Amino acid sequence: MNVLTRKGLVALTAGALALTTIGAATASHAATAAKGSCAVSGAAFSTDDAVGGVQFADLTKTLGAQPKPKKGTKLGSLMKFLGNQYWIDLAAGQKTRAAKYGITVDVQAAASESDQIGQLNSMQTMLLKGYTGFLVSPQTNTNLCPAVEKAESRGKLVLNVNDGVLPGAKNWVGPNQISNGVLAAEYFIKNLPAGSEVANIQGQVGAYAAIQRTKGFVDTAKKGGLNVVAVQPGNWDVTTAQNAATDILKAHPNLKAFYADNDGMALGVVTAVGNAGLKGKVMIIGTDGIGDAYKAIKAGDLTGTVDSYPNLTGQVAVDVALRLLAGQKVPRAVYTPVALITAANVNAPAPKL
Amino acid sequence: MSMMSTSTQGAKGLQGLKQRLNARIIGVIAALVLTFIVFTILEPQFISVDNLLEIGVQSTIIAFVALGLTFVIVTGGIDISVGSIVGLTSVICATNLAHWGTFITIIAAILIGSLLGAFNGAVSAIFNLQSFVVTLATLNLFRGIAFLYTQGRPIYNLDPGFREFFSADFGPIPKPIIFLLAFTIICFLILNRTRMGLHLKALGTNADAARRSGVNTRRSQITAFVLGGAFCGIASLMLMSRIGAAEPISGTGFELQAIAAVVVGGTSLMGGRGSIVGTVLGAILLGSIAVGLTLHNVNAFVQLVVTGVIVLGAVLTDRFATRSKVGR
Repeated sequence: MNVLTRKGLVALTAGALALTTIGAATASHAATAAKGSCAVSGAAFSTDDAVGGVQFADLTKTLGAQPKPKKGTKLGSLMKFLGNQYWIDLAAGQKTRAAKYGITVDVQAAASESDQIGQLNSMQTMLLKGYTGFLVSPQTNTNLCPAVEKAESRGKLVLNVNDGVLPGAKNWVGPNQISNGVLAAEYFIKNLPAGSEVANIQGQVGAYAAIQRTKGFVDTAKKGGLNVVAVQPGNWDVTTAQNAATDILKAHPNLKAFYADNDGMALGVVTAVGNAGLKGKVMIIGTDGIGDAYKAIKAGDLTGTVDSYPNLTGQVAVDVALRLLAGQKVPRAVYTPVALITAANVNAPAPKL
Repeated sequence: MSMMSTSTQGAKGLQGLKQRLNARIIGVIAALVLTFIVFTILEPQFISVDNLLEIGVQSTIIAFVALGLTFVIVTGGIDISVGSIVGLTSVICATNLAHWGTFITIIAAILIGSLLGAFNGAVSAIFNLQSFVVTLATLNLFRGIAFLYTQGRPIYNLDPGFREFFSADFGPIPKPIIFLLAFTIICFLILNRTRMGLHLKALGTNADAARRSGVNTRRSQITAFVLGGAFCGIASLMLMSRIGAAEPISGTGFELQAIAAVVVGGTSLMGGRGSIVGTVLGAILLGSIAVGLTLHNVNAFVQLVVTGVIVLGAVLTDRFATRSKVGR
């Protein structure tokens, strides 16, 4: 073992030295601290608490009509993952809006929900293609940063769309995340007796949207006199959410309502509630407003969904990008609408631009 | 090479083995050339210097993981926990980077990676377990610890000096590419010019025969995993410097890409036969396909399909080559 240890130490030192020599060979480059969307001094940008944030509908009032895009404007869009209905809708909105103006949006995404390097690689590659600007929805808050820094250092527009949120995002468009949870909690407060047991299925641990939605729900529910008995991670995943809901129902047979941080998970909860023979006895509200959630509301399986209108968000993103490209001073945060959809308003038309 | 001749094939078999290896590398190079021609026709800027360097940079992290994995696979083992090793190593190093400074962080990354690898190797070797099952467990174990260590939170704002150290350009060439070249040579020497490399291959060819001829098979097995882990440590450094942050979820799915690179490069999953150069070329092949498809604005899902087809093609080529030449 002694020989092994000695050899190991020699190898370790050799490896470290090799790395250091090569690395130090050019340490001369002054550490150029970036000042763009990825630089933060103090706390990272929290979109829900943005100072001077505006509703998208107010943009025309404050900034005037939508400017005509320059000919040849070409936007590159980085979606999180196109196997998720929410991002498919959002990308569709971007394309619809671009087609209306006669400009191009190329949409790329990672091959899975957790392929941060893959998404970064896509953006790095897109930088070679001469896009006018980028619409980015990073998988995590920082995974696109090297490409974002490069784009901004070349004077390209980078508009942060929805989430993750770049730690120092210069411009951002998307729904207010905390209000998702707040709307769901308010509905339960209004429709359930005080002291009722409620639970939350959380999205990916650590994701901004998951943190904020859960916080909005839990804080509002507690303040409103509900008893939050469980908050379990569902990682945006149908099956994980279903299993978590099954366990929660076993532990808390008197549970009256679930709020899930996205619709996929809410549909998982629907299955769990059905399996437990509690259909109609436990309220379930999801988030995002995907097509399947609307169907489930119409079928009476799902109580509601907090719709953040991904298609509309995609359209607004293109509008804001064009305003920025035209040199307008758009506030740092532009909010897109959020509304609770239940059986009462499930057939009402979605807000339009 | 004396080890190999204890298997019955003798000098002729050895010659054949060498030829076959070279044939496999030529195969990967042919695939690379074909990829380059096709994408250059589709997107002329594919062949630009900028893009070629970009391919190099994008392939580096997976190439490092795959280099280490080659040592494990050549012994007939597998380590599917590599992505989790990268995740855990990078969050520990990122958390302490400000305290430790660059040099200690480098040592720590290699050390942590090695220790996690040693754990995988030791459990497999001492309890005589299949490394697939052991690393399936540690894939979850290490990832879980990474989440607990940071309470799920990412660590931002890594020191720009540290990032420059690994990611800046050296003259016109990005440093990651230079690192990769240097370590490819080191790995090549370890596998092909040292007794350790010989033992690893012997273990993968025939563990019983290796043991009988005096190879400490248990130690060799652990060594392979330690090397695999150490390279995951280096990959973590590359990852941290590239993104400027570390997240407990970093490295998810690396195992699949790295195994694909190793297999495409001509290393046999049955053990005994491995190619360092092939592994790096395999990683570059997969990297250039990803870049080419993105340049051509093709959906990421197509990338998965293409990768799958290429791995399948490589394995089938291997199968037929093995049959016709060795006549099993």
